[in-house]
Amino acid sequence: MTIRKKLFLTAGLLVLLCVVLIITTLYAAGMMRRELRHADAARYMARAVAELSLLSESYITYREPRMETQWRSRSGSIDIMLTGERAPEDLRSLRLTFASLRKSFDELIRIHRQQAVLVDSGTDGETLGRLQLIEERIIARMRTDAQNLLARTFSVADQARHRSDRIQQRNTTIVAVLSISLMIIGVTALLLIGGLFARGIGLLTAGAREMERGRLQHRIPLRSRDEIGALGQAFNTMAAGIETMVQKDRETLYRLNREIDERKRVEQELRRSEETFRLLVESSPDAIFVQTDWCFRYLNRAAVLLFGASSAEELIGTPVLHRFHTDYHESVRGRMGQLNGQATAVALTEEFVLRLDGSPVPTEVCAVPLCFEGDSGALVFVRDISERLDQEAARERLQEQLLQARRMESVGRLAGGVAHYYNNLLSIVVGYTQMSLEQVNRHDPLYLDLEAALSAAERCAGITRQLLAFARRQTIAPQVLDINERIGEMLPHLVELAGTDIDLDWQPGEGLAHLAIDPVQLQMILENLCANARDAIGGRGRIIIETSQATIGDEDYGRSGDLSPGDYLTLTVSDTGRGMDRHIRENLFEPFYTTKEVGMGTGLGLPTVYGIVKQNGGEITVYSEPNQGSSFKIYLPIHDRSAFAEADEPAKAEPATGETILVVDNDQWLQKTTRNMLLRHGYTVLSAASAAEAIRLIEDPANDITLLLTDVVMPEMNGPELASYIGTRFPQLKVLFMSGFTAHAVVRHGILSEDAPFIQKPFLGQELALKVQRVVTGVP
Amino acid sequence: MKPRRRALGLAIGAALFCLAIFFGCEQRQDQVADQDPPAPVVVATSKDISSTPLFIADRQGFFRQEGLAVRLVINNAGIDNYHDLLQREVEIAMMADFPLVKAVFGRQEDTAADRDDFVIFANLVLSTDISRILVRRDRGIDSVEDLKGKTIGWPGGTSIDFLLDLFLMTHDIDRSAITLLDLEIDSLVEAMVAGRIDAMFAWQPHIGEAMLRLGDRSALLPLNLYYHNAWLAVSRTDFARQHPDRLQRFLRALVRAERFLDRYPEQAATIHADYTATTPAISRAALKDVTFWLSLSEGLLTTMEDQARWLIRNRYVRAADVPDFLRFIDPEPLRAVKPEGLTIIQ
Repeated sequence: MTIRKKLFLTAGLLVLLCVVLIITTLYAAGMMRRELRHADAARYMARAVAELSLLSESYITYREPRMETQWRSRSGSIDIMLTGERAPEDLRSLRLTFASLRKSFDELIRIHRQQAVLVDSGTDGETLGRLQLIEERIIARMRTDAQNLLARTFSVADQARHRSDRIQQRNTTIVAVLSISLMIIGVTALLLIGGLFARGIGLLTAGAREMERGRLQHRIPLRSRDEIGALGQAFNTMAAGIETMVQKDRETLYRLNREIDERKRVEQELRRSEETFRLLVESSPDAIFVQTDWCFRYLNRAAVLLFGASSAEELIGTPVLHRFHTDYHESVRGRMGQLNGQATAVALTEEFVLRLDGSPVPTEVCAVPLCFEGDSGALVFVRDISERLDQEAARERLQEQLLQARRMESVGRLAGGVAHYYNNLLSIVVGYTQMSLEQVNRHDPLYLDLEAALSAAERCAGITRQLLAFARRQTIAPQVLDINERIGEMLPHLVELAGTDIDLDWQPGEGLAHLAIDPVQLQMILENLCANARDAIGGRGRIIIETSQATIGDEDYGRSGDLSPGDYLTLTVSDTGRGMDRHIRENLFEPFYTTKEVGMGTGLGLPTVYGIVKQNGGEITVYSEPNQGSSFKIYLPIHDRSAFAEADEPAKAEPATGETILVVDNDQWLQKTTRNMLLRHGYTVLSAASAAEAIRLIEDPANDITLLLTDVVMPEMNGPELASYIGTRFPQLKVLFMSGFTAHAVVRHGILSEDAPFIQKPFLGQELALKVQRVVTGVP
Repeated sequence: MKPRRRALGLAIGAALFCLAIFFGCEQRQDQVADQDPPAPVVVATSKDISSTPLFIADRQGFFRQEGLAVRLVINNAGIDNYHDLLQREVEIAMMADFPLVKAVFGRQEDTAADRDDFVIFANLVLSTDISRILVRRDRGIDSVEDLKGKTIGWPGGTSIDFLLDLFLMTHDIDRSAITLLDLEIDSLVEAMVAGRIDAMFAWQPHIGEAMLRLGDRSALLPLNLYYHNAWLAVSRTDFARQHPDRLQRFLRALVRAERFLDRYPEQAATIHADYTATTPAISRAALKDVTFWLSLSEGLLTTMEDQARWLIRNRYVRAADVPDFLRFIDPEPLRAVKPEGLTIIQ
C-alpha cells in the first residue's frame, strides 16, 4: 500500500471515527430527547391519572354530574395519550389497565343511575343492596386500576428519566471513548507513518552512508509496498547498477592503474635518469651550458660560479659571446657558427671567458651540437684552468728551483771540492810562507815578497772559506743566541761596512725566540748582504735590517722555498739600490756571478749567504724591482719554543663575513696567489691588473667593495696614487698596501706614510687574512 | 515483532481496553458473577398465561445466568402451587391474589392464629383480561341473558370464585337461575368441548384452547368489567429470610424475561406454548390480554382488601375484620432488583 493510500486510509479512518462520534452523539442526543419526551409524557400522564383518581374519589363520594364530565374529559385526554402514535410503548401497554378503569367507571355510572332510578321509584332495598355491593366491587376495581396506573406511569417517568441520565452518561462515555480512540488512532497513525518514514529514511540514509563507505553490496532491507519501499527498491536497483558499473570501472581502473603505475614507473625512471643526469651535470666541476640562438639557455652551477653570477637566470637569454674575452670573439663566433650551422663538434681549445665583474678566467672549451627543446644549439663544456695554470706555474717554479738547487748543489760540490783541495794547498803555501818568513830577515826584500805571498794566500784562504760556506762544508759551531742582541753587537761593524753615504736602519723585532746558529755565519750573512746592498746602492741610500717571527702553515708549503711548516725567525735586509731584473734574480746565488765591475766583487757573497742559510735549515727569498731596490728575506728555524711560547700566541683570522676585496697587482701570478688566499678565508675577491681596471670595478656600485688591496709599486699609477684617487670619491673604502719591500723601506722611500696599512710580500695566507681583517674591522 | 505491528497492536489494544471499560460499565448491572455453583430453587407455577416470564427465564437460561438452578413444577392452578409451598415441596409458588386472601382467613379460622408462614415478594402482572366466559353458541347462548338455565363450569377454589360472583352480581343473574359445575381446569375444557357444560368461566390459555377446539360453536361473552387479578410470587417466610439472594436472583431473571417478552413477543408465545402443551396462536392471543409488570403496588393491597371484604360480607369467612395484608409483603428482594416497581406505601 502506498503512503498516499495509507494517509488517505488513516484520514478516512479518522473521518469515519469523527462521523461515528458525531452520529453517536446525535443519536444519543436524540435518544435522550426521546426519553425526556417519554418522561415528560409519563409525568403528564401520571398527573392526569392522579387527577382522574381524585375525580373518581370525588365522584364516588358526591356523584356530581360535573365530576362525571370532568372525569370523562380527563379520561379522554389520557386515552389520546395512550393511543397516540407518538405515545411511548410502555405507556401504551397501560391501555388494558386504563380500559379496565373506564369500563369500571362506565359500569359505576350505570349502577349509580340504576340506584337513582330505584331510589326514585321506591324499589325494595334488596336490589339497592345488590347494587351497593356491585358499586363496592367496582370502586375497589377502579381504585386498584387507578393505583396501578399511577404506579406504572410514575415508574415509566422515573425509568425514562433514568434512561435519559444513563444515555447522557453513556453518551459522555462514548464521546470520551471515541475521542480517546480518535486520539490514540490518530497518534498511532502518525507514529506509524512517522515511524515508517523515519525507518525508511533511516534505512535509506544508512544505505547511502554504506555506499559512501564503498560497501556497494549493501542493500536496503525495505519490503513495504509503499513509496519508501519503492524508493528502497530503486535504491537497491541503483546500488546494484552502481556495483556492476563500479565493478567494470574497477576493472578498467585496475588496468588504468597498472598502466599509470607503468607510466609512473617509466616517468620515475625518466625522472630518476633526468635527475641523475641533472645531478651529474649540476655536480660537474666543469661548467656546462647550452647555447641556442647564440644565447645561454641552460647553465649548471659550475657555469654560474664560473661566470660570477648569482643564479642561472642572470645569464639565461644573454649573448654567449659577451662572456668571452674580446681577443677570442672572432674564434668563438666561428666555432658557434660551426656548431649552430653545420652541427659539428668543435675541438678543445683554451679561451679566456669573462666573469660578470669583467675579470678574465682562463678556460678550456669544447662543444658539441645539441637540439635543446626543439632548438638547434650546442652543449658547451668549459673548464676553469686557473688552478691548473697556477699549479703549472708553481710546478715550473719548483722545477726552476729544483734545477737551481741542483745546479747550486753541483756548483757547491764542485766549489767545495776545489776549495777543500785548494785549501789544503793553501795551507801548505801559507805554512811554508810563514816558515820562510821566519827564516828571512824582516828587512830582507824577500821578506816583503814572502809577506805579499802570504797575504795573497790568506785572501785565497778567505775565498776558500767562502766557497766552503757556499758548499755547506764549513765547519760550524752553532750557539743558541738572541739574534737581535747579536745584530746589535755587529751593528757598528756593519755601519762601517756600509759606509758614510748609506744609512743603516736597524729594526729589531720584539719577543723573538732564540736562534741556534754559528755567530760567525750570522755575521757573514749580514756582512755579505750589507755589502751587496751597499754595492747596489752605489751612492747614498739606505739599508734596513729587520727581524721578526713567522709561522709557515701547511697551506704555505711550497711558497717559501723548501721550508717545512713551523715557526721561523726572519731576517730581512732591504736596500734602496737599483734593484734587479728577473735574469739577475735567477742567477743571484750562483758563485762568481756578479753584475759588479771587474775587481769590485768576487761573486761569492750571496752564494755564501745562500750556503749558510741552507746549511742552517733555512730559506732565502729575494724581492726586487728594477730601480726600486731589493729585499732579501731569510727564514731561520727557531731553536727553542720556550722563548717563542712566551710571546703572544699569533692571532688567527676569523672567516670573512661577506666583505669584498679588490686585489690590484700587475704581477698576474702574485695577483692570483693573493686572490686564492683570500677566497680560502671566505672573502669575495675581485681582481685587477692595473689601476685603471681597479677604478672601473670600484665605481661599479654592484661590486660593493670593502677593501682595496693594492701593490705599492705598479706601472703608470702606483698603489698610493690609486688609493689617493679613490679615497677622494670613496672615503669609506679601506686600503691595504702590499709590497715586496718592507714597510720601512717604502716609508723611507717616501712612498707611503708611516700609518698606512701595509703587508710585505711574500706573505702567508694566515698573515694576509689577519692583516685584512684588522684593516676591515679597524681593530689593530 | 516489527515496530509497526507492535504500534498497531498497542493501538488496537488501547481501543479494545477503552471499549471493554465502556461496555463493562454498561453491562455491569446485568451481570452476576457465576463463579459459585447455581443455587437450587424449586418453583411451582401453572399454565396460566401470566407464567410466561418464568417459562422464558427457564428456557433462555436467565435463571442459570443469575446463579439459580430452578426446577419448575407446573400445576393446573395457583392454588395447587400454594399447596406445594405449604407442603415445602417448592420454595416459590406462583398464584393469584384471591386464594391467598382466602388462605389468610383460613389459617385464622383453623388455628386462631395469624399466619406468618409465607410472604409475597412480587406481582408479575399489572392487569389482565384473561378471565373470560366462553359459551357454546350451538347451545343458543349469544348474550349474558341467555346463560339463565344453562350449565356453567368453573374451577372452584380459585380466583374465579370471586370473579364469577362479581359477574353474576353485576349482570343480575341469580345463582339459582343457572347450574354451576365446579371442575378442574383441565377437565373444564374437556367438559366444554364435550358439551357437558354450556359455558365455562376460566382463564387463559384454557379459554383459548376451548375456543380453538370448538371453533365457531363457541364465543366469548362481552363483559361489563375486566375480570382480572394479580399473579403473585410467594415464598415461605423461612426461605425468604435464609435466602434473600435467591429471591433477588429469581426476580432479576424475571426482569430479563420481561424485557425479552417485550422485545420478542412471538418467541415468548412459542415458549409459553411449549411449556403448556398448547399452540403458539393461543398463547399469542392470550398474551395480548396481559400487561406484565414486575411490581408491588398499592393496588395489590386494595384488591386483596376488597376480596377480603367480599369474603366477610358474604360470610364466606367467619372473620369480621379485614386482615393487614401489608405484613405479608416482603418488599426487599424487589427493592434490591427493581426499586421503581416498588410503589406500595410502607
